[in-house]
Amino acid sequence: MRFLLLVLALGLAVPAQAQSTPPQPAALASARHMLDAGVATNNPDSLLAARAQLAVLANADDASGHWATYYAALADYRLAYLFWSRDADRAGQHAASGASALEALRQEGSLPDPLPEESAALLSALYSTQMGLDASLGMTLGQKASMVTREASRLAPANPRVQYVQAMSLASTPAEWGGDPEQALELFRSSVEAFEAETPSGMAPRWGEDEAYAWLGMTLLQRGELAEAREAIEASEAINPTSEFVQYKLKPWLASVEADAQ
Amino acid sequence: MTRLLLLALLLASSLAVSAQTVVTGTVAGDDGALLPYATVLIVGTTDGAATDSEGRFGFTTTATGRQLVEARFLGLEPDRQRVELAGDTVRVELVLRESIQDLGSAVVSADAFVSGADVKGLSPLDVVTTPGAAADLFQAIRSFPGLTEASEGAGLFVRGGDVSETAVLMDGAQILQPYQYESPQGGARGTISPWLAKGTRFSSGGFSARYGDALSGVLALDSQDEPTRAQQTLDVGLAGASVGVDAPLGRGGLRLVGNRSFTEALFWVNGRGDEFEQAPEALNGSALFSMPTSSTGRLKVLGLVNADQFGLRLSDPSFSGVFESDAYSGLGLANWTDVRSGWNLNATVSHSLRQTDQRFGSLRLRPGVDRSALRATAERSLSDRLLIHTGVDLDRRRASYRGEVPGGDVVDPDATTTVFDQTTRGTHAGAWAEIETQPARRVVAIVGLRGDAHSATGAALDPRASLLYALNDATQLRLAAGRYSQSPSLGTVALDDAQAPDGPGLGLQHATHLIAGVLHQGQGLTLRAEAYAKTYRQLVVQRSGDLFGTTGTGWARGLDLFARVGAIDTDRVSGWVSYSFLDARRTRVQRNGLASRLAEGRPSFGVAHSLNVVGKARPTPRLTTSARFRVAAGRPVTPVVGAIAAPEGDFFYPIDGVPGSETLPTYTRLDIGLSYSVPLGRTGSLVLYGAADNVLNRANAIGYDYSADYTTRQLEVSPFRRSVYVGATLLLVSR
Repeated sequence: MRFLLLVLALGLAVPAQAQSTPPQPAALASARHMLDAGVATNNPDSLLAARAQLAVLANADDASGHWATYYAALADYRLAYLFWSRDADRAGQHAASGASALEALRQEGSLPDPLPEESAALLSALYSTQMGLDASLGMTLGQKASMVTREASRLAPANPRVQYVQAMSLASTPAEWGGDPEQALELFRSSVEAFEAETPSGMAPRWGEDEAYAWLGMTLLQRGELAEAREAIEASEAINPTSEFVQYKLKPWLASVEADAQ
Repeated sequence: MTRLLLLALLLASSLAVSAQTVVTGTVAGDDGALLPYATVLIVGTTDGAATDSEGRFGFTTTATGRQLVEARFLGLEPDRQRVELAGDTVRVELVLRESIQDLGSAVVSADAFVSGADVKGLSPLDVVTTPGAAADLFQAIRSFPGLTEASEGAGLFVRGGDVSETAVLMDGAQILQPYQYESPQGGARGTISPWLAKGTRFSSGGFSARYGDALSGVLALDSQDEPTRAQQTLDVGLAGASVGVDAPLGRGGLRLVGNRSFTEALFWVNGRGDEFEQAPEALNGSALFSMPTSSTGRLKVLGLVNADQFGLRLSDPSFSGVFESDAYSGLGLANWTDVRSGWNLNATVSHSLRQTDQRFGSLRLRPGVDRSALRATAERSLSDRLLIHTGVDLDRRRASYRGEVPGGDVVDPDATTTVFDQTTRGTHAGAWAEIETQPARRVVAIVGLRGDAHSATGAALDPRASLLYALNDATQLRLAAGRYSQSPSLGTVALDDAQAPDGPGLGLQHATHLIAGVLHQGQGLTLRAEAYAKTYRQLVVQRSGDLFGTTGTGWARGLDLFARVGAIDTDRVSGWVSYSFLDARRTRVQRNGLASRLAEGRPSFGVAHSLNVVGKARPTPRLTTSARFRVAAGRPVTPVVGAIAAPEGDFFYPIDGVPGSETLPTYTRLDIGLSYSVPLGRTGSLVLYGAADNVLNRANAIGYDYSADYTTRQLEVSPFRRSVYVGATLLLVSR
C-alpha cells in the first residue's frame, strides 16, 4: 500500500515539477552538448537545433535563462563562421542576432558570474564577425567592439577567452588603427596557457582553446617561426580534429612554407 | 482512511493530468516549406520546444485557457496564434513571413529612411582619400549627387538651394559657422575635422521632421566616443600643421586636436599667391571628452574654436583693392544619451557664436551672432511594427549688425553708404513627432509633424511623410513629401529692422519637397536614382535699396543618379560616379542704377549638369592612389547691359539684363592623390601623401570682370590652377 502511495505521489509530483519550474540545467546541458557536437562535426543542423533549444531555454527568468541566452549567441557565432563562405547574408544575420541578444542580456544588470566578462568577450567576437562580413559597419561597431573588449579585459584580464578575443583584435587590426602583432602574439601565448589551466564547471563556458592555438599557429607561421607554429597547429588539431580552418587553411599553408624552407 | 487518501490522491492526480495540454504542430515559411529548428513558445511562459529537422514540434504545458503560441525563426517575422488550452491535444500550424528587416538596412531605422543623397557611408578615410577635397569633409560631400559645382569652395549648394539652406549639426547642436575663409565667393573649407565625427549623415531632401530651420539639406555629424588607447598624431603639410592627442582617462577619454593653417609655403611652391595681400591663415582646435555613464549611457563635452584671416585682392568695376576678412567662431556643447524604460533618450545643450569683420572699399561689415540651444529627443519601439520618435528644440539667439553698406552694390570709397549699428534678439521653440510603421510586409511608412515658432519671424506647422516599398531584398522604391521652413538669419532681420523699424518685418521662408526614387544595394554595389520637385515661397529678397522682404519665390526640379562600387577600407578598387541635373528659378534682384526690381531668373548656383567620377585603388596594402574628375555646366550669370554715371563720383551704377540669362563656359577639373604608409616599429606609422589639383591646368571661368563703365568685359578665371601639395602624418600609439 505504501508503495502504491509512493508511486502515485511521484506520478503527481514529477509532471507538476516538469511544467511549473524553469528549465533545469539538465536541459541546458543537453543543448550545450548538441552545440559542442555541431562544432565538432561542422554540422549546421546540429548547431541550428541547439540554437533553437537554447532560445526556448533562454525564456527562463533565472541564471539558467541568462546562460541559455549566452549559449544561443555562441551558437549564432558558430553559425556565422560556418556560413561565412557559403552564405554571407545568413552569416551576417546570425552574427547580428547573437550580438543583439547579448546587448539585451547585458542591459539586465545582475548577471551571474562569470557571465559579465564572458558575454563581453563573446560580444566583441560577434562585433568583429559582423565587421569582417561587412566592413562598412566598422564606423559604428569598431568603437563598440573596442569598448566591450576593454571592459572584458578590465573584468577578467586572465580569462582565456578574453585574452583570445583581445589578441584576435590586435592581430587583425592595421598598425595605424591600433593593431599590434607583437602584443597579439603575447596574448595568444598567454591565452593558450590560461586555457590549459582552466577548469570550467557548471554552466561556465569552455570554448575557444582550439581556436586560440590555431591563431597562435597562424601568427607564428606569418613570422616564419615554423617549429613553434607546427606545435600550435597540432595542438589545435588534437583538440578539434574537424576544424575547417586548420584542415583546409593552416595545415596546407604550413606544409607549403615548410617545403619552401627546405 | 486509506481508501479516502487513495481517492484524494487519485483525484488530484487526474486533475493534474487533465491540466496538461499537449501542443503539437508545424512551422512553415510563406512558401509552404516546413522550417526545421524554429522556436515555439507559449507567450509569457517557459513552455515550448524547437521544431525538429522536418519542421514539426510537440510539447506539454500546464498553461490553461486562452493563450498565444508564438513561433520564431531568424530572418522571418514571428507568427502568433491564439489557442484554447484545456487538456488533451491542441494542434497549431504557424506560418512565418519574410521579415522586412531583411529587405535592406535602409528600413531598419527611421534615420536611414530619408530620401536624398544619404552619404552616411562616407568614412573619414573616404574623406582624406578623395582627391581635390584637401581632406575636407564638405569638399568630399560635394562629390555626391544633389550637390552642384556652384563654386570651388566648400559650400553645400543642395538641389537648387542656397548654401544657407543646409543646416550643419554636431551632436544635434547647430554650427553657426561651418566654413573657413568666408569671402564673396563663399567659404573655402569646412571647420570640422573628418576625424572628429564617427558618423556623417547628409540628406539632400525629404528629410525627417526631427530637423527644422533648413529648407534644402541637413548635414548631421555625431562626434567620436572616448578613445580606447592613447595615440598621438602630428601632421605637417605645405599648408599647415596639426597635432592630435587621444588619451583614455579612467572610464572615459579625451581627444584634442589643434591645427594651424598657413598657406604661404603652398603658394610659394606653386608660384601663386599674387591674389592675396595676406595669405589665408587659420588657427582652430577641438577638445572632446566622452565617458560612459552607465551600460547604456554616455556623456560628451565638446568645444570647437576657429579663427581665420586673409586679405584677397579684388577688382570691382568701381574699386580695386583688398578684401580683408577676420572671422572667429566657437561651439561648446554637452550631449547625453541613454536608454531609460525602453526609451532612447538624447539631449544636447550648446552655445555657439560667430564674429566677422570684413572690409572692402566703402563696405565694412561687422556682423556677430550667438546662440544658446537645448535639443532633446526620445524614441521608442511600441511594437514590432511601430516606432515613435519625438523631440523639442529651444534656442535664444542674438545678432548684431554693425558697419557701413554702400548703395547699389558699388563699393567705391566715395559711394553713398548707410551706417548700421543694430542688435536683434530672438527666441525659437520647436517640437516634432514622427511615427514609423510597417502596415504591410514590404511597406514602411513614416508620418511626421513639426511645429516651429520664432519670436522674430513667425510660426509654421510642417507635415512630412515618407513611404518605402521593397521590391526585393536589394531594391526599394522611395517616395517622400514634406514642407520645410527656415527663419531668415537674425542678421538680415537686424539689417531690415535698422532700415525700416516700423516696416512689416520678415516672415518664415518655406519650401515643399516631392521626391521619388529607387535604390538598389547589392554585394559591393549601390545604385540610386532620384527625381525631385521643390517649390519655394516667402524667400528673403532685397526688395529695394537696402530693404528686405520675404516676397521671393522659386522652384527647382531635377534628377540625381549615383553608382558606387567597393569601399576604400576593404577593396583594392573602389569609387563612385554621381550625376545631377538641375533646372531652377528664383526671384532675383535686377539692378537698374541705384534702383532695382525683382525678377525671376536662374540662380547663380543653379548649375544644370554636374558629373563627378571618383576612383581609388590600393595596388599594395601600403599605397593608395586616387583620382577625381569633375565636369559641370557653367554657372548662370546675370549680364550687365548698361550703366548710369554716378553723380557723386567717378564711377557707374550697373544696369542688369535678365537675371541668370547667360551661362559661363563648362567647368572641368581633374585631381589626383596618393599616400604611402610606412610602419615604424610596433607603435607607430608614417603616412606620406601628395596631391595634384587641377592637373590639366584648366582655366575655369568663375564670372566676368567688367570695365569701370561696364562697356567691356572679360572672363574672370579661377585662381585654383594646377597645384601640388605634399605632407606627412606621424602616428604614435601608446600601449
